[in-house]
Amino acid sequence: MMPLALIPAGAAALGTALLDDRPGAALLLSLKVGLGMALWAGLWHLGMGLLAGSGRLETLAASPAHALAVNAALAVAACLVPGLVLALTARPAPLGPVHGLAWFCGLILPLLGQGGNWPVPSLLLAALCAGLAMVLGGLAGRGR
Amino acid sequence: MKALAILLALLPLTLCPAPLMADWTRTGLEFHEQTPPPDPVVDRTRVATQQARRCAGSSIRFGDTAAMRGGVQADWDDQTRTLAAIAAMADSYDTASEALAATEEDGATLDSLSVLTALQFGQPVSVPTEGLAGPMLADRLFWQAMTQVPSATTATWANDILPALDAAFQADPSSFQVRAWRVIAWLQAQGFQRASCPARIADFADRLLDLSEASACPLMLGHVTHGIDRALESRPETDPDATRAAWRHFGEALLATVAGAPEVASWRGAQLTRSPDPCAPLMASELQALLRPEAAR
Amino acid sequence: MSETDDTAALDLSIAFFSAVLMLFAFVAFQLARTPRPEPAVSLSQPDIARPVQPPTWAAVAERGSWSVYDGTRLTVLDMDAITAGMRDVLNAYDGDDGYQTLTLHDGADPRSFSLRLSFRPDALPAPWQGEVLAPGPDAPCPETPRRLLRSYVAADVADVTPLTAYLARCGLTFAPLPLRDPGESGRVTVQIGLGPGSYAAEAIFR
Repeated sequence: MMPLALIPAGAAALGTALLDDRPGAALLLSLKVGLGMALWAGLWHLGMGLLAGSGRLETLAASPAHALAVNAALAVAACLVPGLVLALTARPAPLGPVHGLAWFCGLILPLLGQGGNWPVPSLLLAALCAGLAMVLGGLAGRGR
Repeated sequence: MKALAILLALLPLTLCPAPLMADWTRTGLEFHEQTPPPDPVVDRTRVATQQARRCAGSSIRFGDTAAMRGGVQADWDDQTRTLAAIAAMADSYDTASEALAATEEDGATLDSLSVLTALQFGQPVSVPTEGLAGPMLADRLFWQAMTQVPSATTATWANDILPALDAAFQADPSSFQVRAWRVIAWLQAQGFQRASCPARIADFADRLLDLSEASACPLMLGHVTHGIDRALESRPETDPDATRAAWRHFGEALLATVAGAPEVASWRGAQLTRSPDPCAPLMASELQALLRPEAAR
Repeated sequence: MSETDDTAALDLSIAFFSAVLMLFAFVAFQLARTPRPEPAVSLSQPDIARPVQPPTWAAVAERGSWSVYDGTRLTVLDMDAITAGMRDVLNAYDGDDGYQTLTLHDGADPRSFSLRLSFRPDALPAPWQGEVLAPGPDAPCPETPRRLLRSYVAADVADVTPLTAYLARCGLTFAPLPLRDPGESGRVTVQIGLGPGSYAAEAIFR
């Protein structure tokens, strides 16, 4: 799935590059957002490993609501650092949220959904993370 | 959010390797609960073995007597063979029985031939079973059961015919007719079954898998299901007995799974969801479990 | 760049991106693959032309009478004459219009045999003719000992419905056996027999 992630990101980058008379900034934005998403996914994975290894899940019953809470908390916690990094290195460029959504679809969305089952909690989680991705992309595109 | 508080508290902690609780499992970037798979009722290994063998032959034989199936070794002189051929060709019982009586040789094989000839001509005959073992005994038990079929009630099917066929199967596992009629007899006797649903499904599935062990070929199993329909004088969809119809749907779906026709099996499984039989949901879930690894291959 | 160019480029890029995103959404889902089944080897009956056991749907084969139909006449065979010829080869009919030959095979079952009959469908040898009837709405019914009638139907018979209607009226079951075209001698040859290979097609009940 990972190589396919380049397709929407490339499309977004290309599309916005067509729009603006500063294609370089758009491409740079796309790259930064992509790296930010990758960092988010990596921290999320790290958080999962820590949580699984610590055995703290014993205190929680394995119901869908609790699972959604844990996943959402992990997602939010993991996106704080990338968000901060992107906000600090922001350069003005258009359509940041679109780039965020594209890279989210490529890097993180394939790993959600319980292997293709997509029950309702997974859908909610994906919607939440899509929103977070667009926020991150917007942060990266807001200029000083 | 209790979960968030726990999470923020444990982030500084170092990693202590510990196994994940059985209830929680990870898929990609998601935690979710893991439903434990139910114990399989249908024998998965047998189904997989037969699916792998497909149309390869087996040790099961199709003859109507033990001698035709190769279960007994014998040699006959020309006169006996001629008389037996005359008995096979004749169209009146008197000619056939006279021919068989005129043979100078003797033995259990010729006795079985006399019994079979009488049955073929529709003559009432008693089928002795004393002093026999193995394939010969299996034939006699089978014919004994078949003489009871025309006037059998459900009680007869359950208490007399089905045990006789099971004993015949024990005596000669290579006889295909016995395996086929074990399935038909079970369906006829299913109103008398009193065991739990998993036990009944396992029993019926074992009989079906015994039957398809002859060959899990689509042509063969289509022939078998048509034969069952002729014996029960209805299709599963037109069976007046709704519970028996559910079992027949399950039987045809299992045979279709073994023969490599998953679309037929899933259609039959869908028919099961509309059945009033109490065992139908377990049958449907077993079929789905059997079809899932097939689809993933 | 002018305003309109900006808008056009934006529309184009967003449309392009949306299309690619939709494509990606489809691709991102697991595609279930149904395996293509291999073509199955059929279990054909290895011994052809051995129909001595009629293919009735019964656990024990039902016996039948034998006859030949040439389009207008139904000749019921007299099995006593044929079996007399099997018993003693000197009594076996052998002539220009037909003959019979019995071959005995080795096997554990004494019924392993092969009987070859050669005859003209419209003029059977006289000893073999049991009854000669003309199937029709008012014709008398055959006096056969059995309710099942295995009929050899000549190759040039296009329509057997008169025969089937006649037999249904008489309460007989019609089991057809098609014949090939006669050879140069005008005769057809059929082989009736039994052996271990005869059972595969009627496998369910043997």
